[in-house]
Amino acid sequence: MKAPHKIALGVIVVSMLVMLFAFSGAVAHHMDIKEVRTRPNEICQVPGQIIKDTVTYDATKGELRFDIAAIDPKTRKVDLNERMTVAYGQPKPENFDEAVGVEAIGKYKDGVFYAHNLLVKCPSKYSDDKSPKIAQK
Amino acid sequence: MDIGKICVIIGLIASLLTVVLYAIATRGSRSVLLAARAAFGLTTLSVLGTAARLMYIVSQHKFQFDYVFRYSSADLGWPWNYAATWAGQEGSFVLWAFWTAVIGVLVAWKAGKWEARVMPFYVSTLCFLFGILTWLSPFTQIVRGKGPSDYPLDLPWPPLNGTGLNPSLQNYWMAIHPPTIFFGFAALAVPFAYGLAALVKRDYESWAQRVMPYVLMAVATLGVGLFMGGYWAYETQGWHGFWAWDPVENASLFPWLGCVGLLHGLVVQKSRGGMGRTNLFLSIVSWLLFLYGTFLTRSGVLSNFSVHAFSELKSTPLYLIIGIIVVQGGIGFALLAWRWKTIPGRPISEKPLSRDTAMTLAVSIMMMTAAIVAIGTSWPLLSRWGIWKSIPIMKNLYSANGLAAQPIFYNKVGSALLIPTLLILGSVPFLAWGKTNAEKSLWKVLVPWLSAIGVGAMVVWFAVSQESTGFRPETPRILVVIVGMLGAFAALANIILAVRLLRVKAVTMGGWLAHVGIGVMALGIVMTNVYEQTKTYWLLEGAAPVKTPFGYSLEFAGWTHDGKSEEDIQKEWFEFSHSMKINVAHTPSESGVAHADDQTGAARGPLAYTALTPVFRQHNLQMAAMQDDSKQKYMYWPSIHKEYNRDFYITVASDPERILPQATLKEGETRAIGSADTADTEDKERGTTNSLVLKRTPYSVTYKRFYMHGGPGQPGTAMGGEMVLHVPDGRDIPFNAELKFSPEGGLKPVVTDIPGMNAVAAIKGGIDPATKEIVVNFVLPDVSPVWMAPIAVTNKPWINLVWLGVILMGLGTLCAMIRRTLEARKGLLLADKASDGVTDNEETAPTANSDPGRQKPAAAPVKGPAKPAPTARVKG
Repeated sequence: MKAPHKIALGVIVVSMLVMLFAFSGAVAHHMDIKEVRTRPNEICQVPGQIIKDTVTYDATKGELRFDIAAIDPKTRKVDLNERMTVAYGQPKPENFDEAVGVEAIGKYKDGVFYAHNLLVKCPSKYSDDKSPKIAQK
Repeated sequence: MDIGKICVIIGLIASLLTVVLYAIATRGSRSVLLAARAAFGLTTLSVLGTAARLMYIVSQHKFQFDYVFRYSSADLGWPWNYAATWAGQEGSFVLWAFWTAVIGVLVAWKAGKWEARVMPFYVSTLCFLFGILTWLSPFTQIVRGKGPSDYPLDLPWPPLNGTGLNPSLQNYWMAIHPPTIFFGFAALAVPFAYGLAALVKRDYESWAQRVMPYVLMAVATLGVGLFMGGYWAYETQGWHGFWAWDPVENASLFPWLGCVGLLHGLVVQKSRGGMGRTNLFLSIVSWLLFLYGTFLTRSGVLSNFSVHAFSELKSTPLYLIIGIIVVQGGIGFALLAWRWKTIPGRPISEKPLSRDTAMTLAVSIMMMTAAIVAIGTSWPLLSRWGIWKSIPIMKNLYSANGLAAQPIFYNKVGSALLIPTLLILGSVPFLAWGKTNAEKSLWKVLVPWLSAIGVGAMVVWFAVSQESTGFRPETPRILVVIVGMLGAFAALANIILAVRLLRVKAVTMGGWLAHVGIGVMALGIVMTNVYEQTKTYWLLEGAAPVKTPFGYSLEFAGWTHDGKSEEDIQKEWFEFSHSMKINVAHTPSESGVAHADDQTGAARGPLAYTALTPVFRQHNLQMAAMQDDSKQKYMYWPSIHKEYNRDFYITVASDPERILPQATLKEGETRAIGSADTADTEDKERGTTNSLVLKRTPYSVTYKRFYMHGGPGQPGTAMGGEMVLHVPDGRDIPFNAELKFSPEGGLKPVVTDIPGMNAVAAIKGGIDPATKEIVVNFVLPDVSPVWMAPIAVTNKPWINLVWLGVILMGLGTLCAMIRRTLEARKGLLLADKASDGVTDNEETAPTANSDPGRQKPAAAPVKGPAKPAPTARVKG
């Protein structure tokens, strides 16, 4: 095999190994609230509907806290009895107040889900109803 | 049918006609060629018509169009009334088509003999785009009728207002970033088209030279466009970062990496003749990477894994996107396979210490990086493939719901691949094509090496000084030092060569300058990401200044709208002048406690500047209508203070509030009414910060008794407490603080006037059913409410190196584009240079020698010994 081909092959093999190595502990499993409680200290991605009354920000701890309620992915129904507290250590994300749902990515520990990332879902992603009940000036 | 839609249909027909006519024109008939050009002209006019019509209806607020209704509103000012044109999927397809057509005119004009072969492949993209736009039209009107998603018949027609542009997009970057990045995307189709044309024509040499300026154009605009997006995020999002490894960001990154790989392969082909097959392969792959990225971001398959990805596409346009990948990719690879054996392979040097080997490594690393980023981004889809369950090491990477690769994945892979990349970048200026004379070159490398070690020492010193404040970075220091050192090495090695070339033949310094940019960026990225620190505090009106460990103290200083009436403030719903003012003063930077030295005010040093953090009220009408709650929604932009060695970044972390004097009591208790204040707090993880406390006012209140009049949950029922207010002048005034069940459901607080005084009271929140505890807010004549805002303060050291690196990279790439355009025009034949085995001596740093027998004077143009000089001017 010619040298340049050997080099290319070497790079391919080494980088694939690097990739496999980097993957461990660096993926977030998608699961619901019930299941995530059974997997503490593993990076998970949990969807939920934000319970608006519970949103607070504590500057002393530098944390945004709110509760989410479980959403069935197929029926999209919200189960308010299945709740979890999420703590997010960054400022409140931009569309947070308008968001209906959120995907929280992080680890569950001692009753609280510590999220390092929040994917905020706009209402239009949930409702098929694009009804224009708009205030027309 | 709207004129815009007519333009789309004409465009669809015209583009198909263009492809067919150009294909026929390859047989040589001039009249067919002219017909093809006419068809292309018509295609271009259709694109322009479509774009112009769309921009017209958007900027002129024609809300009867569904697209305009969804993405704009009547109060949208300049430039967003135009920039909203590309806010949605349909508009961004139009933008893509627009640049494709514009660049296509350039390609057709400059293609010479290649025109008829290149244009069919190039214009095929426009066929697909028009096809998509036919089904996904921005020119459809809202349906009027009685269904839930139809516009009600009783509302005005045409609608007077739309639902508005997403506030995150109302930023000047919206006018600059999408056009730039889509220009880069459109340009990627050129090497693809030329590559396929080369395969058909069996002319594998001159396509490379012709296509290089376009590849450089794509690298420059895509690269700058990528970082524009990063800077946009940095400037407006409170999370103080500029790259999140979000799928949409990655979908623009991996095509760019592919294109950079292609560029370097073309350099090898031009200088040494080798990598001919590789480059044809790469030209197809870069284009397909872009199409694949487009599919990922537009189809909705990653909408659960990304903040930016568009929501689902309807099925026909989705199939068309898949179709374009299958058809163009299929034809491309089929052609490549068919012609594979006819492509001459010219061997390049196998010596380890040669530029050839360095380039082989470089191209391989770049392509693998592109592949890994693409795989990581696709993992939410790929992880669902059942086959992983049967492979031991891959078992954990399987999930039926999809697994998303976290930023740490990309950081690990990126650092691992960055290290050899920077080493190569720094060595290449000292490596010659063919063979490098090791003894002579090696000692010259010492210059940048030793300087880089010096930089490494400075990085260590810097790291130690940051850590002495108690900060513990997540990344090991050794990694920071290595990457920083190698970045400096790369930058210094290339700048030596760039400066030398500046005096000799300035136009060739482009690539080297771009490499300087990469080195500087690497150093900046590693320092700023690892050593950034964030602290959060309560900022309270009238409280002691907050002392940060970054050399500044902060103090609330009012609002920019202070003095305006509430009506005026309400009217200006998206007004930049609504900022919170924060006085930022110098303090000696000890990692000390923020002193509440109210009496002497000694904690505050000289004022450095006043930070303005814009606080916008969100006013997305559809959201308000759907959610039916009147709470103000805010959006905050940070204040970024740029200094040469850091950015001081202040952002409002959550809603500012006015805190009224208040008391929290249970039945029978008497408490002082407290006014908000802050007190220093030590947190074992977070260091020194502050917390909200209440300081006593001369007023107090007694909660005598809880009462409920009426049944629980029934409208009209009131519950609350009988209270007595104790005023400093000695009076005791009884009053009731209560909540009422409203007819619409829910408890609403009643604002009670306190008799005999200019004061009111109201319950805050609810009443705990078990303890009957109540929190009461007061408005008292001599105790004012205070503004409170939680703020996050971030110190970002050396971040401006990142932007400096981007600028150098952009300038270098543009310079290289000018050089390669001039070369393509002179029509230097690739074959000449390659068969001589001669290297460009000017392009190596001093003393790197090539084949000793072929020494050429540094400034002489390349001449082959057996060819007549000057090199024959051959067109095409």
